[in-house]
Amino acid sequence: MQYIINGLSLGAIYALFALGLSISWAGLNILNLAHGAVFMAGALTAWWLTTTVPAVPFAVVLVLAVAVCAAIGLLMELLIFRRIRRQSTDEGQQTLATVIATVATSSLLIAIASQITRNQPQGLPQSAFVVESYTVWGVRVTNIQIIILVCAALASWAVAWFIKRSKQGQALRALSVDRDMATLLGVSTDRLSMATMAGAGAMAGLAGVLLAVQTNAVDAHMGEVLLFKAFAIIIIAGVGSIGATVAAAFALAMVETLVAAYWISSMRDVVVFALIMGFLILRPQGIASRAWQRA
Amino acid sequence: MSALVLDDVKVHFGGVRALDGVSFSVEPGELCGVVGPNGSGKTTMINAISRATKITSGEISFDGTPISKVHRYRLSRIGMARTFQAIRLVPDLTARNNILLAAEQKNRRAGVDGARRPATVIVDELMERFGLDAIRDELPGVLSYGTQRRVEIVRALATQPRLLLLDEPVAGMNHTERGEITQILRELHADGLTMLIIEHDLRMLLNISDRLIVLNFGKLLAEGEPHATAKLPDVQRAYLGGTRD
Amino acid sequence: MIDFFTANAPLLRNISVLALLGYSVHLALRAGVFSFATIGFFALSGYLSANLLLAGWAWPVVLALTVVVGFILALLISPVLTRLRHLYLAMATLAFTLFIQSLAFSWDTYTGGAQGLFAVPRVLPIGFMLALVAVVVLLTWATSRGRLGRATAAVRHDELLSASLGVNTNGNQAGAFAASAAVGAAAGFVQVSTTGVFGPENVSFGMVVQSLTVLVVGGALYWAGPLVGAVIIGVLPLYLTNAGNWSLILQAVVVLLIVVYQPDGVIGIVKRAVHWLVRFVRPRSDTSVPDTDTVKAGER
Repeated sequence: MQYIINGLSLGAIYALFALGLSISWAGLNILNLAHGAVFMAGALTAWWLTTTVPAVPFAVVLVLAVAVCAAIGLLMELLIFRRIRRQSTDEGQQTLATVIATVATSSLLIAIASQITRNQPQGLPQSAFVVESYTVWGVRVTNIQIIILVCAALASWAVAWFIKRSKQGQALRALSVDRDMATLLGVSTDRLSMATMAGAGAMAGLAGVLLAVQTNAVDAHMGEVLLFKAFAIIIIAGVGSIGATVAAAFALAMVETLVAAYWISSMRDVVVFALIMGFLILRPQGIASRAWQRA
Repeated sequence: MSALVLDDVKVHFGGVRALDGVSFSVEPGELCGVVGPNGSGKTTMINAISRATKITSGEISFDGTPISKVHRYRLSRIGMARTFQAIRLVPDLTARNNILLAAEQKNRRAGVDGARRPATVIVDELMERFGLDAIRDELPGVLSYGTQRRVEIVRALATQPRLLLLDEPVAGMNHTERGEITQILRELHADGLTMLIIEHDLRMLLNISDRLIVLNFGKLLAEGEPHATAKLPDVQRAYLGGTRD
Repeated sequence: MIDFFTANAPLLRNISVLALLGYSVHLALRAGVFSFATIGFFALSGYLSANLLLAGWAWPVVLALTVVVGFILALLISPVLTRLRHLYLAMATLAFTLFIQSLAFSWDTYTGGAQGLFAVPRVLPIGFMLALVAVVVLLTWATSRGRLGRATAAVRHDELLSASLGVNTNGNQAGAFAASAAVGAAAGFVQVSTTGVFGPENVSFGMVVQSLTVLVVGGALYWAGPLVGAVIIGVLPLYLTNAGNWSLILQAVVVLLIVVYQPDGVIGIVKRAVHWLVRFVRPRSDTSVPDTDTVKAGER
């Protein structure tokens, strides 16, 4: 039962992270390989804030870290993706340039982070967040886990509502199918792209801070492992489908927590990548049959 | 034997019935015009014939052979060529190379004397005949819209087709350009090339077609002699009260 | 002359491997195949070569075998390619590469696990290594022209159009993917037979980044792009010895600047500079650049 709680909070973090990745892929056709680095940037910002200015309340740290990551996402859209879109001649070249740009951004962010942390993993100071645990029905639940679950639930619900109900969300789906057509229909594609990238960045950053507090570890490379797990999640679920992504995120986290003792990490990676390949070969649209992105 | 036969062809995308049971045939040497309001299924029909889109049911035959299971790239090898609604020229290749690309695929059938002519010869002849010599070495980006369309049609001709499908060849053109393209189509018709032309410009089609087919909501609304067909009340209604320029 | 080679052997070896990796990605990319599988084939070949060389096989046989294995394996996988669009293909090939990496960690017997394999006989003479690179460059150049070059450019731009003209798009892309795999395999062989070691650090996501960097810096679609890129990336570390993270930062910034502002890479920059220079020195009314067979060019 303890495992289930731990699995749930891990799943919540996976879900937050994967959702951000999913909407940038589905909505903007961007394979954001820098998503993990943004996640790490959130954690890093939290670390830096709490170590430089210890008296800052956690809520402020959280908001600032999320804001920083949203800003990173926004900058990526403004400085990189928008320019590439404007000057690319065909879809293939644009996609390639975008992927390479995200890879380079990831390298850049990680290298900067390595420089700041002096290539050492860091921990959050005690004062950053006081972990309290409660025992409910014989199960230990910490306050951070509750916060994680609440945040993830709110964020998922917000994203789902946005995509399905709001005008901008519908516009995003139109965008993913045909950008030019969407522009003709009056969608402000540029603003939508900014909002999506900022939102994705925010979600990654939030996940980063929460995980950093949960595990009390901040490391320049902490986003890499998670990135490919997230890809597995969104591909299995179906890129763009919110509910399935959240479900898959929890499923993966549960499996990891429950089977952790029996799995060597390298075998786990083998399975993760085999799953990605398998799904892409056999069912690229994922489990959710009505994914709004054509595979 | 008909050059092209469509037999109860249906193309459904999810809930949309783009083509809903269309049947007609095109005789060898005929110039068949296809008109219809936006969304009537014209482009879907060309896509279905050229295998750019899958058919949900029905059969299409080319020269007596069913082609709904044939690989896309084999179609030009058996003599079917098409142009696209939006001009698709390869931007990195010169006009000549765009046409050479088509000529050098395995489309070449034996000439009159039984020998296969080299692709370069075919290309040079075609470019000279249709007045493209001057712009041989230009990239598509610098060419006028009318010239681009001419290159595209000549490129299709370079595959030595027996059936040419044209999707709105004069769309967006000014009067002069329209006249040039129409003249080319007349010449090809006189050569005996079978053609199926989709167009919005009803007047242009009335001038050159042997037969007119009218689509509406994915179904065949009317077909027959162009002028008579165009005057049918159903057809006039479909176009909301008159011919379109 | 020989002295120059031996003195600079590590540098030449680096450049050679980088060039081969770059060409591997290039060959797939110029046909419109978004393959990140290069490092996967690099790894397969590296481990296979290491095992065979350790077992005493003659190096020409090993080279031939790994290249053929890579080629055939790629052909077998290629039907999958045709069904996946850009990003999904990129993801699938990336997963393939990382799958191979994770296999490398866990399948200890053949891969030496986390430590990798070492003490492999370094039997490849420098001359042959450079000759191999030269052959790949030459073949790439030759196939970028003429009939195959035109067909490949067309397939890259517009599959539907190419098919309507009679080009066997699936065959063209399968061939490109197989060629890409073969060259990637050659790179793996060279890496092992010149350094004597092969381990997980050769199969990392970082290596994927390296191969992409080489390609993009040189000029992704030019036949000489990977060569130029390899020389630049290979030589750069010499001037950044103690930079540590700063060299990584610099590399990332350079790639970003190129991808965003100069997508045609260094070759594109040079071409534009020469063009501008020519116009400056000899101003004429006709400034269109004649193009006969240059398929990769972006002479717009």
